[in-house]
Amino acid sequence: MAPSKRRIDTPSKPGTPRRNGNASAAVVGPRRAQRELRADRLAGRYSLVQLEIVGWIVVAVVALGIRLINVDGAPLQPTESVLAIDSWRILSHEGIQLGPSPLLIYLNTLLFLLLGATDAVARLLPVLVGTAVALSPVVLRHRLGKVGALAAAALQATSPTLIFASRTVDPTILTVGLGLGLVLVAERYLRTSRPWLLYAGAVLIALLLMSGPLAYDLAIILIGFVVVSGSEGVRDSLTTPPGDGDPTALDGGGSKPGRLFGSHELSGTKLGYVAMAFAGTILLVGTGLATNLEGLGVSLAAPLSAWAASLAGFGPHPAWLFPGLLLGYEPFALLFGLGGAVLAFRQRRSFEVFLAWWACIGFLLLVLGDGADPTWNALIVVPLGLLAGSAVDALSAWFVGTEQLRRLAIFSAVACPLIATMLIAFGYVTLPNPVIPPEVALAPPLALLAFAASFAFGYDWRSAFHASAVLAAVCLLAFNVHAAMFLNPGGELNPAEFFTGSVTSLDARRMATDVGTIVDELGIAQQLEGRAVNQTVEVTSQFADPLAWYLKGDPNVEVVSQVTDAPGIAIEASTAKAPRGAYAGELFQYSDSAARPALSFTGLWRWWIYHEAGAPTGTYVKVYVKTQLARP
Amino acid sequence: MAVAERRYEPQYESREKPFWLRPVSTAIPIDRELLAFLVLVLLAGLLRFWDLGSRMLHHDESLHAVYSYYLYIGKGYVHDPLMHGPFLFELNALVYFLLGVTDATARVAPALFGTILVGLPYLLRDKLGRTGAVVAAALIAVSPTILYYSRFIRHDIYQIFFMMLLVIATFRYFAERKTWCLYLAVVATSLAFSDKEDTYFLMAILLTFLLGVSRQDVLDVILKGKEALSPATDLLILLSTLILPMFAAAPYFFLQHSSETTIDVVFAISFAILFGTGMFVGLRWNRGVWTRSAVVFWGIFILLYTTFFSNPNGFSSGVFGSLRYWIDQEGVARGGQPWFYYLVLLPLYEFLSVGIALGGVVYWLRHRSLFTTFLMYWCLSSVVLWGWASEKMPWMVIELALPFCLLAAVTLGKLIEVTPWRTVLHQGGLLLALTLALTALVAATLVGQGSPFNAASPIVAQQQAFGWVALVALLVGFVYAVWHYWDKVGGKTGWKVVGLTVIALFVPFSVRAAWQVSYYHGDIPVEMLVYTQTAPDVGLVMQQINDIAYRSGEGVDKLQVAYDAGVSWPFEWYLRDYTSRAYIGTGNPPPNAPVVLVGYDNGRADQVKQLLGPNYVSQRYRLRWWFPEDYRTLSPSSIVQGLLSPTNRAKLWRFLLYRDPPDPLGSTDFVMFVRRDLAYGPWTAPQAKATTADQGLYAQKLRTVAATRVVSATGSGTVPFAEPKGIALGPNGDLYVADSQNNRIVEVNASGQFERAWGTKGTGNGQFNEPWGIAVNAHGDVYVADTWNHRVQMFDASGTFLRSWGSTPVGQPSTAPGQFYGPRAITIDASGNVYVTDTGNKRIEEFDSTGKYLTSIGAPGAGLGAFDEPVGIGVDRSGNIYVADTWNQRIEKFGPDLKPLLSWPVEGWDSQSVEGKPYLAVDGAGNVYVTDPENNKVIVFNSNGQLLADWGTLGTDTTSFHLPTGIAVDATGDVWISDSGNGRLMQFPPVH
Repeated sequence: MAPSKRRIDTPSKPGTPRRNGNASAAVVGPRRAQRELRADRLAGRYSLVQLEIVGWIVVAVVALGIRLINVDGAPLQPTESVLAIDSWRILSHEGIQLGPSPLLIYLNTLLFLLLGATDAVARLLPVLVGTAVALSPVVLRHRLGKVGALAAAALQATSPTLIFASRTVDPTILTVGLGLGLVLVAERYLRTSRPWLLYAGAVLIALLLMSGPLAYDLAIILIGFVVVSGSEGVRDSLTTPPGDGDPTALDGGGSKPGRLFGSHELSGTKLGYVAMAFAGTILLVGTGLATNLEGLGVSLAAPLSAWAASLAGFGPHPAWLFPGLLLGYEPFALLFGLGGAVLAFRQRRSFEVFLAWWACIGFLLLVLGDGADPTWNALIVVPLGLLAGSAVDALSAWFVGTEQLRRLAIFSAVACPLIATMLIAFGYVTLPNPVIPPEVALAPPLALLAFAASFAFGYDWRSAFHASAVLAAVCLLAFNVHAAMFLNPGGELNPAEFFTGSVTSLDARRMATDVGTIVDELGIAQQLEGRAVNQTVEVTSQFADPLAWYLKGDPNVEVVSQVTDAPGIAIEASTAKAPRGAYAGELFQYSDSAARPALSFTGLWRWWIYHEAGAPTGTYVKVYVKTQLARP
Repeated sequence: MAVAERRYEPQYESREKPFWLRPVSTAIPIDRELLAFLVLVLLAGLLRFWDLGSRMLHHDESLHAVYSYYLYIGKGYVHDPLMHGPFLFELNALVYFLLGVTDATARVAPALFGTILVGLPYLLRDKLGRTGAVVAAALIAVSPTILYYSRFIRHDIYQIFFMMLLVIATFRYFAERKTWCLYLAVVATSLAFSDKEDTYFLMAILLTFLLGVSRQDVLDVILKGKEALSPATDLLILLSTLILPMFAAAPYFFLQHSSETTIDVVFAISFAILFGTGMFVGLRWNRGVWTRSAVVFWGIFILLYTTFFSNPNGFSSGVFGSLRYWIDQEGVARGGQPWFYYLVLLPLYEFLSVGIALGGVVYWLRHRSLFTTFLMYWCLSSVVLWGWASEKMPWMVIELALPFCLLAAVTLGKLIEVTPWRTVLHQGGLLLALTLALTALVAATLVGQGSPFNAASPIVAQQQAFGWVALVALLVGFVYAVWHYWDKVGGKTGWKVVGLTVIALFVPFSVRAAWQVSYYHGDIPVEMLVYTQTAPDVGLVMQQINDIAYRSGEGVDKLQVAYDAGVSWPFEWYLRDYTSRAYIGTGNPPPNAPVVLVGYDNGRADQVKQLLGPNYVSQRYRLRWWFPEDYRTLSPSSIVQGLLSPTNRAKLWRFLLYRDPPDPLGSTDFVMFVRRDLAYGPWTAPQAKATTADQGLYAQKLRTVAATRVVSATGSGTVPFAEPKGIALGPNGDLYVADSQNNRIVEVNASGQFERAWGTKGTGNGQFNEPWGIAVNAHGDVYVADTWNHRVQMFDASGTFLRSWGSTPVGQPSTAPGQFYGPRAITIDASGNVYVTDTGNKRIEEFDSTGKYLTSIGAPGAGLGAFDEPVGIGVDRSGNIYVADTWNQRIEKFGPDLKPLLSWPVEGWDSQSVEGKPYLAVDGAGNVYVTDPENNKVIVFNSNGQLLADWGTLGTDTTSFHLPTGIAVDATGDVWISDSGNGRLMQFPPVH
């Protein structure tokens, strides 16, 4: 096929020399002409590439990279190892125990089977799901705007909460991902009425219910939205004949705000298929591909009971935990998400209104319930991130001409140094021995305010507002990266973080390696020299997680409430009595915890910016090794 | 209505599609050329970011990393000319903020600038030529020096980046004469001045060149106020008037011995004059552009030097301090390198660029253009200026390497473009290249072989001769082929092929050099570019310190690491998380510090070793190491003589090819001292134990001693002994036994007959939870260390409970005075005071006879007076107290005033098990008897720690033991042992 004329005759840029031989194919010969034709086709293909696509590629690489790189840097936390070891047990035929996320446990079993049971593989599924969640705005470009979708993806790619959830063996990101997938499928179905989306939705619901306790929070959010704003639409959809309704109600054009359901034909046959898809998924997944028939009930009950337990009222965490998490880790999503929500209501954009509902109800459920796990914050961050993208899109519409960009440049040139000054000044006054009086630190923010006011006065308040918003977006995105890197350092986690509390020490992993080596040597002595050695390893139950995971390959490992007489190796609290007999003892750090920051400006600032908190406190275990091998 | 006029309302209807939604090709014209650049930039990024943190931070790097870190954590930054400009520190602090604080993130910013630098030739492609620009990017990407210092936190990579921007701005302005080019030049200049003082050299090169180009024009503008005809004049006037005040400290050349006040006044006047002059000329030249440029230039400068207004003095230290400091440094000549230093380094690493550039000089002198003339001038003046400066350092080579890369690129680009590729490809040019390469290879092999006629034996000579003849034959054949193909392609094309072939042959060597210096030898100074590099030993030491932090249970925040001035850099960086670290300068380390790091030089390590004594183990490590700098003494005659020597030629060849240094590497070292209790253990270095005791002496003194009496089941009443532990003799000669697993006290008379027993398991009065220690006072009162109830119980001679003290509530350990954590042994002095080894709390507590707390001694540690698992305790007639400091494997002796007197090592006690708890007793002569339970021995020392005897082995006969634990000596000197594992008591005659 002959290439288009536009592609062949790409005009050379003024002032740049023409390419050698670009003048005429006929003059330079057929082979050269062919070569140049290929080159022009190449250029033609690239001409279809928009910067937006480049942006998406960059975001995808960042999202995956930031989640995957050094994903096994931190040893598994006790809550992670409980889930991971359940998968391991299934794989090694040591019995089936389905925790609060049967789906995660089954999928991890599959991954362990394919790739081996390591820390990295245990976290692989959250990594992949987390990346998909971060990139999900790509299918919402028509709603969030192209810039908005990209901004939302960038935000979610760098969101500390979502990255943490994606690098943790925890069902949260899986549940949120499935919930988001369900919303996207519903949105697309309402636009296109394609039946396969119904079936996909049924499958997603089934998976969602087996994914973890957070699924029920999502169910409340979705059902609540339908009940509160869509009952009329539901009735219409069930009663209105095809063609009479508005199939694109979500687009808002003429529809009621928040109306989720348009008029779609839901025949009995289709509903039957939907039910079959739902039931089939439950059957297949709930029974672990028919390998565990008893698991069917447990797969549905376990997440539900975990969720019910989480609603026990005000739990161990204070009421300010989730608001604090949003402010401390997700100020970008919070600030711009609120902006996006305001815009959604003002512009009557039903999808964004739904996102606002999601965020609000999710927030209430987390605050009111026992919730407990800070990772559940991901439930709110996702809708807020999408709303924030919508807000950024609206913001970008302002900057279309050179005049706005010029004003933005002027604003940034003055405001950025002032922000830097503010950071330095606050750093100074929050030192243990401040080098300047605290009042002096007020000067930079006041100067910033004064400048913004004078800028608004000199130009107009809209310019000042938009320039401030852009600067805030850039700074908060930088903060996102900052908080994300500190929350997910790629090594031992920081116990000062609210997401972590007590963290497993890197030393625990080394201890497991050392113990493994000793057991191996004992085994060698037994096999080669026929010595009667004692290879039993007793771990007291308080340290079973994650030590049992790290010692999982050893059949001699036993979790005991108290060390018995004369095991080969005993692992117990450093303050406990040693086992009886001749033992060599070695201290290892099991975990680290840190006091929460003081509720003062100094404490909170130094925690927020430098992630400092109280002095860490280590929990230590002592490994006693029976002296059985005569070593030189 | 002025405000209303300025208001801008966006017109959504009429607005264009934003640039990010347009095809990339309209925003950025993507073609193969740009794709090549993208690939090269990606490659450069990969090369620069890959494994960025594997090399330990160099001394200078650690300084930069630490001060950036201080800025990041809120301690601010005060500009110090010693460390050049503030740009690096502020940028690094931002990187820390974004990505955290590690060795790798400390190098992220240089790597990023080094990567972007590779893409910059794209903006000069109309000058370099399109091929030349790609070649320039490639040469910069794999330039050994630029690559190495793109992975190094120093200012130099930023310097060449800003110079590159200046050159781009200059030549784009020449071509387009657009104002943005001027502003770009101003920004680059200001940032360069905020980075490093080498900017004076860079500006000298650029401005003198511009002066040469503008000549009369500049005088017309300045003197007659004419409009500039030449763009060079614009740039010259703009940049020179802006930077004029930066020379305000120049009078310091003549004021070096003046008072500070005089210097300050002169500087101020000088600044005012220079700034005024610059402003006058600048405003005369172009009021608007100059004013805006001045705002930009000084705005950036002030922001950065004052660290965003947080260090007001930064302005004066930047304008005056920097130049002044480096004028002083010119006399210091740091590094002490010879004048030809760069003439050695450049060809060693940048042989490809330098070689092509020198070839280019020949061509460009005949085909001159403004740009190539500038490049040649830049190369020449760089060599002269940096060679003239007294301080020569390897990182400055990149200031020279950049112009050579660009000149080489424009040359090679031209060569590629003018080569008739049709002829080369189809008329034998490729074969000419191939045969040329083979000819060179064979010729090199022949030269390398040496003479074939002086072998050691005729057979070898014959073999060598055959080889030599074969090579000569090959060479002749290849020479003929070269002649043939040369004839075919023609002389003109032939020369081009020769040039390209030579370059192609050297490219792999250049890439290899870059690879080796940046990765393979990155921290091994077999490379001249690797300059006084921090040795990998520092990483090993940090790993050990981290281990100790874990093993000791202190953690990084509590472990005290003392370090002196000799090792402060880079340990100030590596110990940054150790908040309890102690910098001791040239002073003494604090007593009992777990880890001490001191420089080795000038006998410092020996002094500290003497001070710390035998309680520390030590190991020497390399701190920094360096290339043997024999070249410093090179002279023309020594070079000639050296090259004439086959040995030297071989050495040179091995160095060039394999980086075998001609002499051993030099180093400055340090010593790590670790407290013995932290170093010793089943997983730690065996050397830690080496000095504890003389094992040979123990073998010499070993005896076989048979028990004269054994008391087993019959002496224990109706219930046999179950792991009897501590024993004590009463005033009537009866023996009291802590029958630990039976949770009772048993009294046996002197003939071994059971008298009575009391106690059961529990927490009540008179009940026990594994009693271990026991003592009886002159009145016959019995004191029992009720170990796991964490208390002491007192009974009368008949076993009636009198009182208890210690754990409150019973069973809960406590560190409070008078409380216990697993007390193991008791002794009573002549005045009736009771001493208890509070084993878990690693201290000895003293009480009066009624249990009133008096005092305590000791603390965790290995220093004299400190303890690690103290168990056995005894007192002699003089009131001296002896303690079995078990895990420190020593006995400590205290005076009656509880001051530590001495300690001596014990060969034994090497288990940390719950059974391996040694007890001791002192006889009337002051001899100290100790048990070694898990080695099944009893050891005897005199009161000064001299080994007198040891006996025992594992067994059940009268000469053997199984876990001998408790020990007591009666008035006749007979020794009683509780043979715990065998469940019996044994009486031995005195053993000395």
